[in-house]
Amino acid sequence: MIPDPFESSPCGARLEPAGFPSPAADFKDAAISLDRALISHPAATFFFRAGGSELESCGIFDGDLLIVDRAVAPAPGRMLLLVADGEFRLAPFSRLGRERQGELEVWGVVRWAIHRL
Amino acid sequence: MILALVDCNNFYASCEQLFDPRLRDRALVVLSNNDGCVVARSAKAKELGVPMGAPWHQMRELARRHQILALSSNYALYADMSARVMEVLCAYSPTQEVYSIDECFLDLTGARPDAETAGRLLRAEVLRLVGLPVSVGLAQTKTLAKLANHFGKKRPEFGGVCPLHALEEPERRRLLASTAAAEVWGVGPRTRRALEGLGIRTALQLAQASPADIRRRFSLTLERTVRELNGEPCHSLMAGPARRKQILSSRSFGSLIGELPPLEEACASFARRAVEKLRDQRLLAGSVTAFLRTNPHREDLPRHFPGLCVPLPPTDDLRPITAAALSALGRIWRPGHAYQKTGVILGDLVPLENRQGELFEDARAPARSSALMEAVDRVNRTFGRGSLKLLAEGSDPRWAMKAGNRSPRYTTRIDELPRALAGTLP
Repeated sequence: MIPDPFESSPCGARLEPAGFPSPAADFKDAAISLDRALISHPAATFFFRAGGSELESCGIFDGDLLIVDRAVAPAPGRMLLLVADGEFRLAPFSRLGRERQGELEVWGVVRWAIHRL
Repeated sequence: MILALVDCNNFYASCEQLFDPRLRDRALVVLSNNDGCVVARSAKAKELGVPMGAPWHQMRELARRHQILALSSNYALYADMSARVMEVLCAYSPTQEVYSIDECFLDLTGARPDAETAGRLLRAEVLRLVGLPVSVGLAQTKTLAKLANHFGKKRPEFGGVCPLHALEEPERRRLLASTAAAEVWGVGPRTRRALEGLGIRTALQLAQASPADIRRRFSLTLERTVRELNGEPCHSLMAGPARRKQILSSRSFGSLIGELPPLEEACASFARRAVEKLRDQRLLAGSVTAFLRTNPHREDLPRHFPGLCVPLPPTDDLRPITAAALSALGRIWRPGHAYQKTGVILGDLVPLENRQGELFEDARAPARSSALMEAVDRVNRTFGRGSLKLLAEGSDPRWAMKAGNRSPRYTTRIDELPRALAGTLP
């Protein structure tokens, strides 16, 4: 077996590459993280699986992965996750008539739908 | 000093109800490992009189009559929800002591505008962000904060937050007088009986006892309890969990096991869990104990409760720890016994930073071992616990615990997420 020169040596020291130092070393950045990009409130964010195709016009397809944030307040233009008749339901804020806002419980606000192509 | 004890209401049952709204109005209980005893009850189940800790098989008649639903423990869900609650709460105080899976102490000294307002706010925020109800007890000592939490939970007039430190003296005395001494933190059944012998039945009577007398008759610990009941702090807030003296991993089997190979697989699996805890706390183990237990309640079967401790050069490497545990198990196992339980105890724990080299070891070994174990940890963090493990664990855990009616792991498994329907609203 050929010994790997960068493997630690018997005295415990490690050999380091000693050529020209990388010019990019000062600009090293962490890799892109989807968690950081898509999740603003980790303790309040939950994942759901969408079922049904009625909201395709809003961009939610059957089987999509939904990112739901409880820290975000329901407001016009937002997609809501509601509790109705013991089930989780999706509905855009606008479809929730004024009279029903008190009656249905908002569980959270859907921030992203991740859709497999 | 003003301390808060924040405690989740019916924690396990509340977690289940959060992700399955159909369960909200139901009488629901959660059962312990192997579906043995009741470890959590929803409000409805409490109303029906299901006692905490009751063996479930004794409850079947009541359950049938009132349609009480029993779920197996879903520890993956509870641990994740607990981490979320603690994360939200730690923003309210520079000092948080996580006391158990569903409760923590916070130091709210100097909270603005005042501790009670902070208590009400954090209660509302945990409910809004995580979806779980909590109760808050506020007082000058840990013992009083525990009692205050009890009042906050049981007495609706407090609205979930009991500011015991801010109540008028007569009101405080009335509350303590209406509380049994046995409700006080640290008063066990034996102490309770001895206190009754002295005519001390309520928390107020215990608070009015002479500390010196209590120390003479009982212990320093109970004297501290008396002082704490009078608002004199004796137990400080630990910033982090206390460094442990031992790490134990063990559980009863779903059914009794006699042969060695499945016992070895179970033992290897407990060794892995113990090593996970060891590495989490950045400790090394200097000894490994394996033990076996037959069922102590089966008087018709031969009994055997052996254990053997094997010393190790301090390590957190799964391989030597598992090998040592299995060699100990092989020596204590006797044919002809039906074992109910095995387990592994890691002892002689030292902090990772204090590691001393061995005189005759290969100088490369520690670096290789830690690189390997870090890779194993990374794989298991990425693909889920137990994705990469030693073959010694086997692949078919027939010793696995019974969890006949566990709910999905809604928050930790991507293939077990709750479903949200896109459809017409009812």
